[in-house]
Amino acid sequence: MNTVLTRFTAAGRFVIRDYAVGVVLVAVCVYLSVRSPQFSTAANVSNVLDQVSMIGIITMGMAILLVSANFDLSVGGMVGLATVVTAKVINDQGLAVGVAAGIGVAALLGAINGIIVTKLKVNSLVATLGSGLAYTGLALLWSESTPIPVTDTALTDFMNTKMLGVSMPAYFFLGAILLATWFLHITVAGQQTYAVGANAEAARYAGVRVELIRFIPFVLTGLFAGVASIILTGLLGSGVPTAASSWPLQVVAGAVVGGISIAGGRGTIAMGVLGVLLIGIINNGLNLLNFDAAYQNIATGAILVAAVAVDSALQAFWRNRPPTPNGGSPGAASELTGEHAPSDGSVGASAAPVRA
Amino acid sequence: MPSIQPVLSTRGLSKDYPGMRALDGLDLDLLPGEIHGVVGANGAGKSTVIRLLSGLQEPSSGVILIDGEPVSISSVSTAESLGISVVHQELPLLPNLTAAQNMVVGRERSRLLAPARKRRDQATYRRAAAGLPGAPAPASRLETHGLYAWQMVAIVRATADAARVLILDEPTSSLTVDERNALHERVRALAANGLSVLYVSHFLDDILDVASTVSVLRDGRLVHRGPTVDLDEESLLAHMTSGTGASRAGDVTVQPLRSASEPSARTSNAGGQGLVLDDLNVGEVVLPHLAVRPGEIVGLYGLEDSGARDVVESVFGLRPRTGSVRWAGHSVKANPRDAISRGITLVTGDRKRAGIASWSVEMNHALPRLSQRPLLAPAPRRSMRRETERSIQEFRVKGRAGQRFAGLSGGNQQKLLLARWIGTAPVMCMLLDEPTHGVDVGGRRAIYDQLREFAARGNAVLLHSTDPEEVVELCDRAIPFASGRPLEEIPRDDLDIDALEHAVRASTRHQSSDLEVTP
Repeated sequence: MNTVLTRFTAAGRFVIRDYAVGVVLVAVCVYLSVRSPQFSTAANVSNVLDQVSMIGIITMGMAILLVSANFDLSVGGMVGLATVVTAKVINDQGLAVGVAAGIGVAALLGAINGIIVTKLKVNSLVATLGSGLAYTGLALLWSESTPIPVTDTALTDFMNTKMLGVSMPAYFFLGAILLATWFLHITVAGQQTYAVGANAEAARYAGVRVELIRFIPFVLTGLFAGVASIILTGLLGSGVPTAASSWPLQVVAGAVVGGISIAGGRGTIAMGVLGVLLIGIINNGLNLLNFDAAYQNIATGAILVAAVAVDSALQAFWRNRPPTPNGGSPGAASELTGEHAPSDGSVGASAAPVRA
Repeated sequence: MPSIQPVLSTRGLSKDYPGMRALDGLDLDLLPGEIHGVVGANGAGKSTVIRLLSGLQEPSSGVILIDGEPVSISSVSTAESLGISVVHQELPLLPNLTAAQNMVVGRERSRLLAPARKRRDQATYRRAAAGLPGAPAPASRLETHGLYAWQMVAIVRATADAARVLILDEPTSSLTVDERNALHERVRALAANGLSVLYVSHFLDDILDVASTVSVLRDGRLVHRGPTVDLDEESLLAHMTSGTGASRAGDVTVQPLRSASEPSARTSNAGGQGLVLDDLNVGEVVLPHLAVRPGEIVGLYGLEDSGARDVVESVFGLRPRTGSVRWAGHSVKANPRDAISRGITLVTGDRKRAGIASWSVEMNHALPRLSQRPLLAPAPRRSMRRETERSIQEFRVKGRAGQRFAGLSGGNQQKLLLARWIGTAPVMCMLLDEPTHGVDVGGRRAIYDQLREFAARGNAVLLHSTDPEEVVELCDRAIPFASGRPLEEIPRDDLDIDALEHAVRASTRHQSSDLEVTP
């Protein structure tokens, strides 16, 4: 009986501590379905999924990157360049080569970011701020600053196809979720990513190839950005060099609202998905309730700050209730070193949460 | 009631954590000018006492009295305003600031935008540090100094203000014997001036050396109090571990110490010629030749910055090096991964660097094995749990696989960080860097026993330690190190604490007289 109770409270703590955003998401959905009759219609659900899919796909890469304690602000420039390449190559060489070229270019740009960070030892924030500007510049140069229409409409037709009432981009988002979950939560590489993000030196002591493990998430982010570029090219029917310029902040906002720590070592794919969905649904709700589009920016910003503040408060709350008897100084150690003590449950969220 | 009014007293002081009572009804009286030792095994409640007295946590029940008046110590600044200063074992100082800045940082009384009064602070520091041998110059940054200097700065910081009670938490765990003696000299001088000192340690000889009274804690309770003149190490150890405490604690396995070496029983062909280092250069450190045979434990003894640590870290590949490192006949590249794949591991006593505090015990245990697996293979969760539980049993780690690593006591963390490597390769070369730093006496003995057994199975062990006792206890032979150079090897028969310290001291004296000659 007692153990049942303990398990129940442990599960409750798990949900509230790590997935509070999920609770908020449910509450927002309930509120919106009451306030707006359109909200829960199939058309609107499909609409929301369309809107969040591209950002969501890139967020999957960013989630892994944030866990490894790095950052990528260049995804806007990356998508801009990839979409220009996709449009040009499709016009010259055909659809298949164009799609491959778009994804390949984005993955390559991600790899360049990875090399700048791991080999040249440039802080990832600075490195990708710089590379993002350069990628945008290349995209503008190559497109002569105008959208490049894709003559073949096959890609556009495909992206607008609906399957079971849901359009194609959502399926790509689902695929990205599965791929990212597999990488981060099932493979050895995923565990090593957490290790490097939490304590790179300890990982090195244990024989982890720290540089390689830091490099891979950059390539994955590029790869996911490439897939999003293909979708974007299809939906717009052309390669638009600056169409994604606001994406980097949206992507980071989604991941952080979900509860992924920018300090590294903490967060799950599920958190990233919930964060993206929450922002998308709130924006959709503001739309349905006839708020001006400018309110969407205000709302996203407010949610971002509120989410991190609530998360900090929750983390502090549980840190100050020492769950660890016997010697170790749960509060003291982190206060003394100023170290942010991340949650242990983030390691392998797919496994049952194990609490001390 | 004692005839003299105690500066600090506790009555019935208790602290409960969910599922356990960490401290149970402690009554303590600290008299003016007294040096009061507090000993106990890891997990006995020492650190809880410190946390309660320093305002990091509040007691579940009981009272703390200052000059006989009950007080509530709700924060670190409350403790400081009551005159209680703590020197924590982890020395939470800022390496990028100077010694004098470290003394004042966070305590500046002036407004934030007032100019920092560097010169005044440096003068205060100079006064407070007078007579502290080895205290760094006021304007030098801490990152350029070793642990002893940090300890000195921490003490200056703790005593610069009008402290009445100084709490020292394991102050000697990284000090050499000479440094320890200097520290004790300083503590006695401070006590003679009326400062009351609570000296918390698990080094029994330190307590016996400096404290006049000792309180022994076991499982959160006070089990003995008395003057130290009536005690020796054996009787003190008996108080710490007697009764059912030892077996229940699991942490403390007191056995008569086995003789360190039976080299005859240790010959094995596996592992070939063992570890062979030739013409090793690590920065300024030079080691012409060293061989460690399988089944042998070789010690590198030196003070902080002697260069011995650089040797051990470079063999593992943590530092760039030139020269040849061979293990079992194969050349080893200068990166940890290659070293590990060939069976060479490094276990450091710096557990913050080696363990991931926020992770579970199980994940910390599994990490070396995970790092050897193909990246896209699934993480083998079931076998990870099984292997962790086996290590917990074998090394008598007091803890559970699913528990947070940070929740283990220091000794148990160390046992786990050692145990996780055992069996990752058929024949291994284990490099140790201060492996029992901050581990209590029972935990140390258990770790030594495991290491001896490990070597006896035909594995090679190369130990770096600044603790001569550890080298004597564990090693078949030892090479003292000083100023980045190996000194003459000391064979087993001549290996004792005096020989080690003499070798190092003789060489440093030689060095400093050289310096005096040069204009």
